[in-house]
Amino acid sequence: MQTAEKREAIPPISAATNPLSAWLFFRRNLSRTAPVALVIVLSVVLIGTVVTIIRSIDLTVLTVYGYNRYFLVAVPRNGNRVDPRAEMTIRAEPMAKQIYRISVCFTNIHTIFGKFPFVLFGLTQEEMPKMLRLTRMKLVEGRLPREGEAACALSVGIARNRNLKVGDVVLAPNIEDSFAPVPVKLVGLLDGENWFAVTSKEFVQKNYFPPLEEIVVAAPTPDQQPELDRRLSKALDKRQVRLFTFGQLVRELRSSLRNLYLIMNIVIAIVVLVIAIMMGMLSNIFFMQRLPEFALLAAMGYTRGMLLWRVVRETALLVALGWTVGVLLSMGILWGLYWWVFEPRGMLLQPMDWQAYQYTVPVPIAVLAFAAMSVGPRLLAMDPVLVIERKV
Amino acid sequence: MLVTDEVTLAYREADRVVLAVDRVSVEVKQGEFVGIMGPSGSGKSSLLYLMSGLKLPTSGEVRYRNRVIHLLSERERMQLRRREFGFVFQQPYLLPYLTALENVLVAVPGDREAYGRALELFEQLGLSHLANRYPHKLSGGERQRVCVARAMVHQPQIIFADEPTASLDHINGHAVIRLLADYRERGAVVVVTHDPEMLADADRVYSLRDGRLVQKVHV
Repeated sequence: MQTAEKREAIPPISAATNPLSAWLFFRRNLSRTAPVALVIVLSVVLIGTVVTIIRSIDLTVLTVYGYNRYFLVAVPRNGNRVDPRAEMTIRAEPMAKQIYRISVCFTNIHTIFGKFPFVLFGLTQEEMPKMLRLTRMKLVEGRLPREGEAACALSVGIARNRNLKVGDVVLAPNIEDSFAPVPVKLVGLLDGENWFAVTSKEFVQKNYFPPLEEIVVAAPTPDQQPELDRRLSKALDKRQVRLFTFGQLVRELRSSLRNLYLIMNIVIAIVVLVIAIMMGMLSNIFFMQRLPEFALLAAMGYTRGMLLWRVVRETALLVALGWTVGVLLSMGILWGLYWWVFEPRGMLLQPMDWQAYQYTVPVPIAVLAFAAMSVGPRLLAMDPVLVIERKV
Repeated sequence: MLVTDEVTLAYREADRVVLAVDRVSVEVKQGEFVGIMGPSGSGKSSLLYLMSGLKLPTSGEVRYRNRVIHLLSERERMQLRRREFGFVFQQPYLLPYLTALENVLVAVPGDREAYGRALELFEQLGLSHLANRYPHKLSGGERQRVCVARAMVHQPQIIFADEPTASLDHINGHAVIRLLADYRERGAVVVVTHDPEMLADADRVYSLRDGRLVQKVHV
């Protein structure tokens, strides 16, 4: 019994043999280490969530207009139809495997940064299944619109975004941002990797003025589409047609978001700098509080390199834990946002956007660097005897 | 084992040069308990710092096993202090977030064999029941005994103790001196104190005044 009591009183060898371990210091000084870790957690959460939400603009645009990967659209410049000379050039292009003359009308979808126009492709009955195959969509509920019918089929994502179900009116004379001369009902739901919408070409041509006719051109495979886009962009006279290609969409998106990303990067840099300076100052204060400890260790024969390495290890553990918890917390918040806010409204967000989390990496690196830079010189200048004579 | 040869430590104070230690020669032999005495400001702590390599002499030299300490690199001096010297300071400072046993093992991190030695030391010093306690739950005497254990755990050749009894009551002071004196069986002990009573058991006592050696007593 006595032996058992004695054994209980003695700390386990694993903890005792490495009393200067960073983990032990972290655990035993939670009142000091936890607030610092919390600041890192909060800054990582701030950066991680904001960047992910901002990057959802890219995601939204590239998903909503992602169908453009599979074909280009030639829109007339000077009339209701594409100039015959331009159409001849398109038809003469050997890579143009599928060519459809279409008419379009528009609805609006909701995004976190406002309403976005979305195209309803007016197609003939024969063209509709072909276009769905081309864009890798399939009908999952209801049916496709009939010839001349005031009806449409939409992606599940668009229906959720607009809070619509089969039988509801999508376009109508009294809906300002989704106008149609007559009410257009939703008759079918589509599903696939993109968002897509089809309606009857005859209906569009009879009810919209002017009845524009555009041309859709698809390459034999999606991989060949960029090459076809390039060839037609070169071959066609821009005064006759305007081409909408996926590459151009991406370029325009990048260009329009450049300033937004620049502002975001500046804000992140400021946040990182402020946090790093703050942490550096805190490290300094904590170092001053622990000066007797470092002086004692130096007197006992720990080199300054060993002591600095100890500070670096402790800070590294702190920032690594703070960063990890921050990333996990960001993911939790973003998944919550996704399930409770974005998904029910058909808005796009990627909670596991690793590129967004890359923006948080400078936080731990800068904090570690500032802590080492602020404590290092003090450690090098420390005279253990002076400290010992005063305090130890 | 350890010899100081005409060692001087000078520092500048305002416009004048102060000699904290003035051409002092002392010797510490294996198995000896050496005392350094003197009033406050006599330079006894400075001499201890010179002997232990914590300070480097302005002139003269300190030789440990025929190696001149100030000619060693900083790394070698650190290694010497870490492996061959043990220290007990006036204030019994322990790392506040470590238990008594862990504080002792700070002197030998990662050495699993030292764990057993530390437990033995705790047994010898009557600290076994305190191994798991944090410093704030120890009395001044208990803390200083833990410091003594910390100075002994790596089995140093010499233990340097700077006023180890200054913050202790009479009984605890004597207990600590007894522990240190016993260590001469394994190495040597140098104790700085202003209290002659604490050096009653010393093999040799050096007396300092104004940085100078004024008396050498063989007991």
